[in-house]
Amino acid sequence: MSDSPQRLTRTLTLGPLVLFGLAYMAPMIVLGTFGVLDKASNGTVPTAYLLALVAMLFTAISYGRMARAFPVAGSAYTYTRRTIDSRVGFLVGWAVLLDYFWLPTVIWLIGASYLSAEFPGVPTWLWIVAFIALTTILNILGLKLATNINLLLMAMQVLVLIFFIVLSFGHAASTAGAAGILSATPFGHPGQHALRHRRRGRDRRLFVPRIRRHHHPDRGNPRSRTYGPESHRAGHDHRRRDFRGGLVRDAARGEQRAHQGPELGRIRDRRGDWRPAFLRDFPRRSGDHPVRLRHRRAGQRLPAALRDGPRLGLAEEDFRVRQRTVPHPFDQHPADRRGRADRHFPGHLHGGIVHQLLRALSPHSRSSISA
Amino acid sequence: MIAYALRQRTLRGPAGWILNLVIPLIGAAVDVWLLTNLDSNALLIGLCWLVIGVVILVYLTRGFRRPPPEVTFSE
Repeated sequence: MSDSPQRLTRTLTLGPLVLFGLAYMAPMIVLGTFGVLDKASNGTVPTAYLLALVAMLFTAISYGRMARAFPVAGSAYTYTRRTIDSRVGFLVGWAVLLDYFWLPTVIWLIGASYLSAEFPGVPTWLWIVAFIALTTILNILGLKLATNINLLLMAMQVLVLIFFIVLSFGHAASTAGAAGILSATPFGHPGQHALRHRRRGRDRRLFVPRIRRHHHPDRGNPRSRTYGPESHRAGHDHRRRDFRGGLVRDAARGEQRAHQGPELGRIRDRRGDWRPAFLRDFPRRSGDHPVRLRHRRAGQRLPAALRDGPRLGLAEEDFRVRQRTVPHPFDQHPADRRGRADRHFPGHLHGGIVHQLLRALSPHSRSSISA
Repeated sequence: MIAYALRQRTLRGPAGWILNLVIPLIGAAVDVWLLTNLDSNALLIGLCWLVIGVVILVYLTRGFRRPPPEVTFSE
């Protein structure tokens, strides 16, 4: 809008630019949204992705040709402006702005909900603020640094995806042989429309944080829910709820299971939730560790060190010395630890390796790292 | 894409038709179809955003009597 045109420099060459485009697509999101998509498409996720691929591929071909015709910055805004009308171009740019506004929001939200599922003690908004700060700093520091970090993250994502694909093929082959690999059931099967009438209107939200799983409007904060006897005495509602907080009906579940082939079968995990059979060997999240489950059933929270020890590869003796007489904030009921300044920090920072190192390095400490 | 092809008169021969008309049409059709299947809330927010954009555009062009401001990306 100023009179003097802004100046842009071409920083990226073709390779990093392609990398940027791939990073923009966040390829690992397919793992994060698989459950929701599987439910919404009644087990035909590959077909859904094929349809989306048509849209993306054909749009991409057009974009590529337009980029060749107008090799300048601005994307759809410039193209529309120069081929159709400057006012339409303005509106296209305006619409694209909405995309650039929501995309990081969604990514941050998904990331924060994953992290707060892993570290229930840290409030979700803190993760989001951290994400905003991190991405803002990266953007200010410049494109070269962002490219390097992109490369790192992409390498990790590609590695995870390769492992996932190999393991998936291995699982399909070991459970159903060659027929499992060639099965067309995931692309479409007779029962795929059975539950369609139940998915109308407001129920078709793509992403709902799983933290609401056990939420009930008049039963307090869902995050503070414990599953032990005292929780039952307090009258908490323990009936199974779906991801929207509604009660799960067994009839619907049975119906959904009946028309799925063996390779799409569902199993109950240790918590009693349904999940795809091929994910049987993957822990759902750290909260499902057998030790944790046992203690949760017994109605007590674990000391932080004991809780995170197995995950960090520590033996029980490694943290026995550090057991406290005062319970760790995370071992108390949330209502009791109000006002504690350190309650926002994840448990393993206190009880795990970091704590051990800090203790060893502290001048007042008589122990060394090896102790 | 199609408007550009019409202006540049590149709709010649089967290759020209497929590249400049059929492929963009398929892409646009699937995009529109996916768009109509969005959540009603998403559609509502999108439409609100578009209305705000039109209002700003009308203000900037003083009721379409002036050309809209242009962002120029020179290199």
